[in-house]
Amino acid sequence: MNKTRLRSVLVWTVVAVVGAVAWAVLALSRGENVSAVWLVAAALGSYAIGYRFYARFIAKKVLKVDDTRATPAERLDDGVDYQPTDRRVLFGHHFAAIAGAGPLVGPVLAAQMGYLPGTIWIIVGVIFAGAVQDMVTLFFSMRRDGKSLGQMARDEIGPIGGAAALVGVFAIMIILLAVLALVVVNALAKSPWGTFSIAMTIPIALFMGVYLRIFRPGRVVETSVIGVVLLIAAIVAGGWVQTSSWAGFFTLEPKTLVLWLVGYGFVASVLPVWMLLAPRDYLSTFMKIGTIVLLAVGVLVTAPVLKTEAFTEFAFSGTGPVFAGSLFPFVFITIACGALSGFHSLIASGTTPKLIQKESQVRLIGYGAMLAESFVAVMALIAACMLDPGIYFAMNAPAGVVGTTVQSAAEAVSNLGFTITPAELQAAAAAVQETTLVARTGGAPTFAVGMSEIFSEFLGGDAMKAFWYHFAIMFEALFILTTVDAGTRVGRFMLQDGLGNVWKPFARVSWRPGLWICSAAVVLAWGYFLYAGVSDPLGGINQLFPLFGIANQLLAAIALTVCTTLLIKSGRVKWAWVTGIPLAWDVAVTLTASWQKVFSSDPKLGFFAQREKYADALAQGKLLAPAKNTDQMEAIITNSTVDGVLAAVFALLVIIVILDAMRVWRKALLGPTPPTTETPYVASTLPESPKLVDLSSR
Amino acid sequence: MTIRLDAVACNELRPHEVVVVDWHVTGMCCADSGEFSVRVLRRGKLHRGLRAVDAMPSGAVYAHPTAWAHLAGRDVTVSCRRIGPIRWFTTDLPPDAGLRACMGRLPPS
Repeated sequence: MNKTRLRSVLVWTVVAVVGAVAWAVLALSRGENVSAVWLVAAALGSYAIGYRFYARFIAKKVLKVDDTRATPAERLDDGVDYQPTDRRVLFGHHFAAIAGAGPLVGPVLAAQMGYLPGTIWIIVGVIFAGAVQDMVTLFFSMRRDGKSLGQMARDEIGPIGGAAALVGVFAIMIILLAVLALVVVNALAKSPWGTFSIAMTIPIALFMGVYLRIFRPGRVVETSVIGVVLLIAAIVAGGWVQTSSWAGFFTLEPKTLVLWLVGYGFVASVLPVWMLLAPRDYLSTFMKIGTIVLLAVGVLVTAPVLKTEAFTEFAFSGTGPVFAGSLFPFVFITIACGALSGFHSLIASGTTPKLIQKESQVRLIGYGAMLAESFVAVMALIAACMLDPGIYFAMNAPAGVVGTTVQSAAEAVSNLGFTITPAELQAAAAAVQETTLVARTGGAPTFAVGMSEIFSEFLGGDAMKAFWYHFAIMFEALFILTTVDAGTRVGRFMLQDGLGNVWKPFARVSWRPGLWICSAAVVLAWGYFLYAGVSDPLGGINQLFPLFGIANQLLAAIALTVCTTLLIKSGRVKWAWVTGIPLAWDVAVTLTASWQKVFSSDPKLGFFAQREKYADALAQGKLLAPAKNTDQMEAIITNSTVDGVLAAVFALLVIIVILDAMRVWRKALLGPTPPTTETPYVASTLPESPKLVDLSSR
Repeated sequence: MTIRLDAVACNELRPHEVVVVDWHVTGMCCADSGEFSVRVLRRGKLHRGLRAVDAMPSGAVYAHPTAWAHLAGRDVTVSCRRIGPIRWFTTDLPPDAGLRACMGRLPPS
């Protein structure tokens, strides 16, 4: 054994031992205080092993990456004017693109089952499913000149699978927008500080757009610095507004916020790109990367203790107040981004494959960036699990369970088996200068409280807690508002494109009535779910989030089906299990969740059982809690019917895609080898990139 | 890919300036898309991330790497409108060109 190899073996042995010890501590601790550092160590150790061994195995044995083959980035131009993007830069672009608000919300909600289920799924899920999906999709798209997932689905599976994929993407977009907007509404409702700060981000972004376009063209850094300073000023000013005569103006009810958001979504999606979208892009990229790095440093410096149990009873009973349903399948539905997210396949195909320098870099960019996103999800889980469970449940259970006062919340939380006093709840709200933290569902306020605890411990002490809380709220809302306008644009585009097949004028992208009609249709669609969410007496997020999870995993199922199909069709049948097993798991999760949401006889879980219960009561002239009048009873009946139908449609889409793909698999296995859809081999003339870390012989 | 400046754009572009075809990420949950924009920049302010692309006149156009990747193989014409002292550089790309490119629906030029 030569020296380099010996050093490599030693290093990887140490990494494996550290990871294994951390896992053992997490798995065996029951009732003791567990430091979050163990969670970080388990995550980092596992990621390192996964990246070094499993990702390398997939790259070399399964995909057979070939660095002598020119990538689209090299072939697309003459190689004179353009140099394909450096892998470190591309990693940053790809990571910034995939790490949005998603990984910050799901883990917080899943914390109701304890820290261990979420931790295991985030880490194991990313290594064997999420990162694999991203990497394999990136590879196959790269071999096809950067074709999008939809194109690959149409080409490789057929028009039925392709159409189902398209419908799936559109449906997920609508539900996603409603869910994320609901997170913002719940975070800003009756919070003048938060509402003012977020409202200010719009004129700040518009000002930056005009400044960059008209006053100081090209001064991106200067404009971004001004933007960040103005953002901080908006947070500080929010504190003053809260205690001023303006407070009433910025204290908005959830339904009023819905109307503002719907109006904002429409305007933002039709505004020119330079005006709002471009300056916000600069702002949110800096905020995103800076805040996440700061949070990671904060967790390592403060080493917070996890106050949640490893498993709460809700993991097994399925009676959790945050969302109904037991550990399987609902942890895997609730945590999508960070473990396995179908959305990533949209970016892993399309943009990134057109920029990659060498084929072997799919490992760093596809697999590595997803591991980094998973780490963000771990941070969010820590932020939720370091809170006192009493506060966590008082914040995340809907008003129908905990009421609206600290007294009712303290009593309800005690009934759940946790201890919290009204005074403690009041003090927690006062510490972040909010009037109440009771029933602040959606995950964002919980994450913000956790983040403010971590930040204030090493940056400014208790006096800064309120500032950091509102900083975190703004940080999340900035992501989400970007999603609202971008998602509405995407939804509008898809609708225009689809309707263009039925009536030609819609396909003409410059036809303004088409633009406005489709924009209005999309904002009304997600606005309906948002409105239903905020007015649902049962609580909106616990009804909508499972639907979002199912829809996201549906997209993952489509992506994994495309990958498995391509592995089979490209003569890699013996390695089809690499994406086939995650696909089987994902289908099991999605279909079980859909089945339970549609057919469960438990009204807390099954949408139709819930509908039947409330419809029967209404027919008998009775009111069932938490509904306080017949209008609310009717709202519950309508919402559960719509949600149930959607859950059934999502399940149907998964089944259609899988059956269509199985037809293609059968044909590929039994018939002659199908023609390849890869672009032909062209020898690369680019020199090999030097190793990032020359640790071992690879 | 060739990016051609029409006569108005050539006329409005000052000697020390270039046209930049930029790319703006639009976040969607944990995946993104993007959109093109076009602006002018002083030659001295060009940063390393921007690349010169085939252009007429030569050397007059730079592009963000992602914008370049989506525009490779296309011919684009840049024009300019003047409203008082303000110059608006525009392209003949269709609306939502960035979105269309990401979703594989940008028609060939």
